[in-house]
Parts: sequence; C-alpha cells; structure tokens
Amino acid sequence: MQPAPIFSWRPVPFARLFLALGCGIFAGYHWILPTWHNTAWGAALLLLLALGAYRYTKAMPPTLNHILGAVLLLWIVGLGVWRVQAHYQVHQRDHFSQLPIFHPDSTLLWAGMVVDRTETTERARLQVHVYAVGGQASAPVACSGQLLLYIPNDILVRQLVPGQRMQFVGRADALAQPLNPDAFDFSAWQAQRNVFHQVRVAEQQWMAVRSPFSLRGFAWRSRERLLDILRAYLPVGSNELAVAAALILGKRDELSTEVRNAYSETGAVHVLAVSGLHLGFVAGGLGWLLGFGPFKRRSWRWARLVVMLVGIWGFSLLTGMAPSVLRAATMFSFVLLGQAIGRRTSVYNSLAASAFLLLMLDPFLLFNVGFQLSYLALLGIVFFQPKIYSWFFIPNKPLDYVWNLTSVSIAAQLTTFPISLYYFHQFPLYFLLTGMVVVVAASFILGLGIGLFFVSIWPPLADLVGWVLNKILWLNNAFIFQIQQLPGHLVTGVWIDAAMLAMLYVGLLFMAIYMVWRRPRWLMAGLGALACMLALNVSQQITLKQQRRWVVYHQYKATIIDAMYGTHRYTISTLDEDDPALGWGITPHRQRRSVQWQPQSAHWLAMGRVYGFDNHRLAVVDKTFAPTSLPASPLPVDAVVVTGSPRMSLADMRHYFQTNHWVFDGSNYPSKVRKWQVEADSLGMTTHWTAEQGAFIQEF
Amino acid sequence: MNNAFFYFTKSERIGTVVLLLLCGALFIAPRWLPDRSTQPESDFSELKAHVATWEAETGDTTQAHDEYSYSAGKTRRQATRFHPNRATYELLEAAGVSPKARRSWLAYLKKGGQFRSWQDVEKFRSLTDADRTALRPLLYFDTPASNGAAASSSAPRQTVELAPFDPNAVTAQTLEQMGVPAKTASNWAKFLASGARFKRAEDVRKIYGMTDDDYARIAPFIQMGEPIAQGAGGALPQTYNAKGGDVLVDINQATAEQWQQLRGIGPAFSKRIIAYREKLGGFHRVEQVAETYGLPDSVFQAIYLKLRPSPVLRTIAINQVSIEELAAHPYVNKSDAKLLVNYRQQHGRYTNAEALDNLYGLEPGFKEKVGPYLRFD
Repeated sequence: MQPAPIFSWRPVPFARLFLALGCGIFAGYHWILPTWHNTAWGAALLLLLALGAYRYTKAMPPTLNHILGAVLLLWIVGLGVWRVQAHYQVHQRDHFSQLPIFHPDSTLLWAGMVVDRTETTERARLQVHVYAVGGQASAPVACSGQLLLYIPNDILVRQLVPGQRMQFVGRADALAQPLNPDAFDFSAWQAQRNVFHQVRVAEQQWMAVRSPFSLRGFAWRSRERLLDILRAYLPVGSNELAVAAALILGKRDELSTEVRNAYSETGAVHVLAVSGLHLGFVAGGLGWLLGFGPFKRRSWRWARLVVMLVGIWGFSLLTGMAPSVLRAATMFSFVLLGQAIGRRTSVYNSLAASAFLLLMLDPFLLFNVGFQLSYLALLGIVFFQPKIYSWFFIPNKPLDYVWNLTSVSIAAQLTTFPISLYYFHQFPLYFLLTGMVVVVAASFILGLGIGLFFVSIWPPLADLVGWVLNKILWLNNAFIFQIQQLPGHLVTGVWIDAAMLAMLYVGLLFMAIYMVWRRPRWLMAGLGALACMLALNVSQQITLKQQRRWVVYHQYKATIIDAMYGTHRYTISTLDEDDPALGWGITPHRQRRSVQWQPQSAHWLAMGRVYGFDNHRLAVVDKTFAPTSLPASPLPVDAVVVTGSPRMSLADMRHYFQTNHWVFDGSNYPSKVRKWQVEADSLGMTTHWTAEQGAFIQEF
Repeated sequence: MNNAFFYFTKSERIGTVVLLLLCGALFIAPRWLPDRSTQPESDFSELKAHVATWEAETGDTTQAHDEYSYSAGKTRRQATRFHPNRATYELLEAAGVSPKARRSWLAYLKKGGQFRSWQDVEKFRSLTDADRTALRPLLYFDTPASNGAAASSSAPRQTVELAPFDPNAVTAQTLEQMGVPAKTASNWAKFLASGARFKRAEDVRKIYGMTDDDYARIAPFIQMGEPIAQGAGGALPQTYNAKGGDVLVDINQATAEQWQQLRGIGPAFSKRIIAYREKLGGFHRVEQVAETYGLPDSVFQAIYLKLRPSPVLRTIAINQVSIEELAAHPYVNKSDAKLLVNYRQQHGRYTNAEALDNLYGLEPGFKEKVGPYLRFD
C-alpha cells in the first residue's frame, strides 16, 4: 500500500487563523456576551507577548512552543469574539437607539448618508447611515447607526443615490420579527447588515443636502451611465435588457418575477448577481489577453498581476461597488497575488487569508448566504474539480472541454448543495445542463457587454454588437424557460435543520479526506455521517407524520387557518391556494410541516361556523354571524377565531360560545381589536391577537 | 492510479456495503412511516348533535366564510360567455383569470366601475396578457358595435391619421392614431421616458416591435427636431448656466420672480404656475407642477431637482363645503362633488380620508389625489 500523504498546516498558515477567527465570531454571535472575556483576552495577549519574547531570546522547548501556539489560537478566537461584539452597532454607546433623546414613539429629525437603495415604482427603500439626530426642540446630537428609509418613489427620489447626504423627519420603529412560524425573517436578514430600525416618511418630510465627493456615489453614477448604454442598444422593457443589466452590472431591480423564478428554479441564478464568476471572467480574460508573445515570460508576471488587479477593481468600481462584488474582488486579489508569488503558497492559503481579512472588516459576513456560497463553491472547485475531472480521460478536445465544465459544475454543487437546501429548500435537478450552458453564455454576454461599452463611441459597430448581444440573451432566456418547462426540474420543500446540515458537511469532509488519503475507513466514516443525517431526517418524519395541530396565521386583511393531521392539511381561508400573498408568510410553514391540502377528510367536519377537527372544536365568528335568540347554554369549543371585525362585543359572544382561547386574526381592524382587549381585561378573559403575539398554534 | 486504491479488506468491504444499504434504507424509510391521516374516521356524532341544537336555539345557520368558498381543489367550471359588468368570482375563475385580478375586478365593480367596451378591459391593469387573450372570446358588451374582437382588430386601423411628427417628442396616443400597434407605441414612449433620444430617423426601427411595414408607412412623416446638443454645457446658451445655478424653489411659497430664476420659466409660465397653484390650493407633490397647462415636460425635467415640496396652502373642509365650492377645485368635477356632498348629507360627517373608500363611483386614485386637499374638522 502506498503511504498516505501526511497533512501539514505549514503551507496554509492562514487556514488555522481563519478557523480560530470563525469559531470566535460564531461564539461571540451566539453565546458569549459578558464582559469578563475582555480581561481574559488581555491576559492572553500578555501571556502571548511574554512567550513570544522568551521564544526569541532563548531556544524554546517543544512543550512551551505548543503552548505558545495554543495561546495564539485562543487569542485569535478572542479577537473574533471582540470583533463581532464591537461590530454590533445597536449595542454601541453612540448608536441612536441608546441616546436619551430616542424614544420608540418620538418623531425626530435625522441627518444621514444613503448607502444603498432598492426601488419599485411605488416606493424606494434606502439604507441610510445616520450621523446626527435631533428632537423637535433640542439641538442635534452626533450618533452612529443605520436604518431603512421608505420613501414614496417620486421624481425627486432619483437624486438619492448612495453617497448622497440627506435630512428627514420621522419616527424610527424597530424592525419587527415575523409573526408566522418559519416565515422569512426580514429583521434577522437586516440585522446582518447592522440595520435594526426603519422609518417611513412622506414626500415632504425629507430633503437632500450638499454632499462631498463619495466613491460610492461615483460608482453608482458610473453604473447608471453604463446602464444607459445598455438601454440604448437593447429593447427597452424586455427581459433581455433586464438580464443584461443584472448579469453585466448587477442591477436586479428590473428583473420580472417570472425571469427571477425561472433562473432560480433551474439553478442558474448565480449568474444574475455580479460575483466571483464575473470577476473570474474578467481576470481570466485579461490573463488570456496577456498570455501571448513577450508578456508570456515569467519576468512579466508582476505586470500581468497589476493589470489583472486594476481590471478587477476597475470593473467593481464601474459596476457600482456592491458588497458582493467587493468581496469577490478581495478574494480574487488574494488568489492572484498568491499565484504571482509562486508555487510555494497554496490557493487554500490565499482563500483563507482573504476570508480572514473580510471577516475582520465585517464579522457578520460569516452568516451571510452570499459569502458562504461563494467561498464554499470556490473551495469545491479548487479541491474536488481536479479529482472529478480525472475520473475520465477524454482525448477528444471539445468533449474534454465539456467534461471540464461539467466537473466544475459538479464540484461547486457538491460543496454548496447542503447549504442551499438549508436556506432555499429546493434543488434544481438539471443544474448540470443549465450550469454548463449558462456559464458559457454568461462569458459571451459579459464579454460582449463590456465590448459594447467600449465601442459605444462608434455607433455602427455598437449596433452590431448590441444586436448580437440581444440574440445571445434571447437564446439564453429561451433556454432557461425551456428547462423550467421540463417535468421534475425542481425538488422543492426540502427542509433540513442545522444538525442535518452539520452532518452533511461532516460527511463531505470525510469523503474529501478519503479522496486524499485513500483509507477506506474514511469512506465508512463519511457514509456513517450520511446515515446519521438520514436517521435524523427519519426521526423528524416520525413526529411530522404523527402531528395533530392547528394554526391561525397572521395575514393582513385575510383569514387563514390550517388544521394539520399527519400529512394532511385542511384549510379555512379567504385567499386562494395559489395567491402570491401566501409565499413569504404561510407557505414556508406548510412545507416545513410537509402537509398536503385535502378538500375533504375523515377527521374534519365543517358545520356552519363550527368546525370539528378530530376531538377538537373550533368556531369562527365573522360579520355574517347573526343569531336571533340566546341559546340555553353556550356551545363549548376549544377556540373561537374572531375574523373580519364583527359588530359584536366580547360579552355578547360569550353568550354563544364557551372557550379558553379567543383569537383575533389579521382580518380585524386594529382599533376594534384594541376595544375587545380592553373589554377582555375587564371581563377577565385571555385573548390572543395574531398581530401582536404572532400566529396562534395549538398542538394536541 | 494504483491498485491499493481499489483494494479493500474483507471487513472494509462488508462495512461499506452495510453502510450503503443503511443509507438506502433510511432514505426511503419515511415513505413507510405510519401516517396519522390514514387513521379511521373521527367520531363527530356528538358534535353534530350539539351544533344542531345550538343552531336551532340561536337561529344562526349562516356558514362562516361562505362567500369565499375555497377554490384550490375544485374542478374548474366550463367557461361561459358573460357581460363584464355582471362578472362573478366563479365566472372569472372559469375564464382562467388569476385570483388577484379576479378580486380587483370585483372590487372595481363594487366601487361602481363599469366596462363599456373591450378598451376598458384592455386598460384594466390587473389583467395579464394571457388573461386578456382568454377573456376576449368570452366577453360581450352592451352595444354590438363595440364588441371586443371587432374593436381591437379593426377600429384603430380605420382612424389612421398620418401627420408630420418629431420622433423625440411624440406621445403613445399619437403613434397609435398613426397606426402603430399599442405595444410598440408604448415601447417607444418608454424609450423616450428613459431619457434616450433618436439621433437619426432610421433609429426608429430599433424600437422593439416596430415592423418594416409600420416603419415604411410612418417614415415619410418623421421630422427630426433640432439635433440635441452633444457633450456638456458648451452648446447651451451661457445665460442658462448663469441663471439659477443654486436656487431652490419652494413650490408653494415661491413668487413669480423666484420661479423665473429657473431656466425655461419666463413671465408667462410663472404666472400660469402660480394661477394653477392658487386654484389647487398649493402643490402637494413636485410632479403636480408638470400639470401646469402647456408647460413642456422637457422644461420640467430640467428644473425638478431645484423644486422643494412644502405643505399645501389651503385645504377644503369636506364636512362644511358646498357642491359649487368643491367643484371649483381642479381635481373634482361636478358629479364627484355632488356625490361627496350628498353622501355626507345622508351618512353624516367624514372622519378621515379612508371614509372616501365607502363611496361608489369615484375614480380609482381619487382619494390619493384629492385627499391631501381635504380636512375633516
């Protein structure tokens, strides 16, 4: 047997540091928040310095050397904890929510700078970096923090591009947690960007103020100028233009829902965000251009590196400097730098170094889906792609090229599928087909798009380039829509939890080790982890298939009640099953509980306004409830759901139903519910309002 | 590749195969797990008896949420011909109209909206193109002359009026009158709205949807306006640059002289803007300045960033106003004014702008447009 290669940390010094920092950030984000760690961290620093000093004055025995290493790693873990807590703006002393002037209900005068914007035709959503806040009467105070600003989108809002400073008057509300179980948590998503509050203002409650030059503003305006070129040569309002804007310039506002869905359901959505793929093309293209003649020589490698770095960063700057692009540019800079330095640095080290730097700047990135996906994909491509590629040897050149691309797709999918299942709960089955075609098409689109920007000074040629670009975009879209039509193109509703996710990655890690060390016991360990993950799934399925619960969701101006029984679901709803309003708030929970809608059932009985659900009873009171006389005794039920603001007091309802659970859902007017709540307090009844307490869930 | 890679000892072989089998078994296991929904029927006899006596006692036999019978699993009804003003949820559903469009259609009818001809259906924004295609053969209208299919295919063609026009200043309506298909005309308008301009008459062919036939027909009538100034301010008259570099104009407080500081606004327009502002009772939004009679959009586009909104000058006490006073407002016509005042007399005071939702027969958007000019004391 061949001796297994011995693993060494030496060529990848940053990998260890990155792991320690990641652990620290994870711990700081999830568990450790007390103050004692500052002292411990300081003590560790002193110890580190003392050991380091000793190391350089005297030869160190190996045991002490190990202790030095351990202290260093622990210190980095502490660094991670400190970074994440220092970065958490809402806890800073000068964050506006910590100031005495700030009350949740007070209307304040704010001054800030726009850092990001997204818009629809009705309103614009601006992310604003606030630097001063004042009361109606008091002087403004300097502060830090960010908030989301919602403005009705009129013609004046156009000037509010990133980098623009502005003042506005409004009340900052904390971003609300989702009210329905498993619903998309907008507040958590924004918290990762250090945004915890929102302000809604009317047309007259803001003004733009003179701004100094800002790089961000320059980048944004430059992107708008490039967009105008695209608009001039591609049909306005078409899918082709929208895809080109997203693919070349990362502007996704104009994509229609159909296009977006088609791309994400076929596993091609990664080309619609400017990311590592694009910068890879730019760097690769420049590298290829400089791969001829005199430039080919080794002495030119530094010049080549400079050109590629300028290309990457210039491209990021001109296309709007989105955070994802900056991330990818940093990653590529490190990788290219590593290549130029020579063969002694491994690409893993470059990746770890770039990740280390990015996490030091913004530790919340560790929890960012885009960050995770790009690093995992790249890791997969670097590690697995050569191994997968060597499975077959294909002498035919074009076929070999196809196989090369396919192996890239497989490798990237292998390392990213667990996490995309975890976040997106779906898996595109034809990813191999789309991945290959779309990547080839994207390289042409990107190349032609950049070419179009250059030749736009000479319209006849630009016309030609625009025409070709339009045709390629059309073909690409048509292809994606065709794939979307294929039966079984998408596996949906797959929910895995954190433990299963961890198991999948552990399994993957063991498989990777097996591929390098070729000891069957690693293969068995990998299969064992996979079996554990599947066993976890089975145990989850056992509880799901035995479930008996009902849920009153919160949906604005609508009533939706689900009764779940095993894999069946019976529903009382004012909305249709395919109503788009259900997508964010309701469907996730239904998929999570893996229930299918049933029109009729042996466990569900609708009798007028009373519903029987196995041995439970549910009454729905709405506007049509018009009794003519009092019953001898109130009907005992397990819960009463009051919907659609019936004109009735709780005291009256109590004559007809006897229950411990009075539930008001989102279809009632809030003012009406507040009256009922006051009444309930005086009557000593307990009530549940979905708009305040979230969905009402009862399991039995 | 060396042979050791494929060499497994016996125990390793067995272990691997067992694990593989285990994985396979666990993967398909959820299919065979006991499912509660397959259990025998629940016993509802007690509940049935209970509810029956309760219903008899209270006299309430109405079905909760009857009006919204849940439709996902129902078999789709056969589509039938119907009058758009007498549409029901089921008829629209049978026609294959999306749920969202169905609800807005019924809400539109409920508020007093009417479909008089196929054009009204075309204009109904909630419908998708697929909806319209499905609806076209199913709808009939009061006057046979304006029947859907006929109106859409032949009517616009009959009234083709060709006249010289500037491709950079033309509206979608004018284009449609000249026989350009609606879709293409709207693309043309969008192209102009995006700020882009045609440099040569041939550029018109690039508009998405422009056929060679259409182009050949309108080409002789295209008259390019003055070429657009290329490059930066060099081509612009110096006076304009000197004029109004830094001024900000409060749309409600500015005097005629202040308005004239803006480029493109002279004595006549400043007078008109102020007169219109007086009639309105002040501008609520900056865009309203563009409604001033005759003010070219190009001028507005050049000045809007210099305009600042402010609170409106004058509001109308909706609970005291007479029909004549109300109708004097540019946004309120006589019939709307009558409707509003009569409703007040019958139902009592308006408490807030939301109360306008209760009135049938007001145009959609009326509340948003007029609301800022009302007060409810």
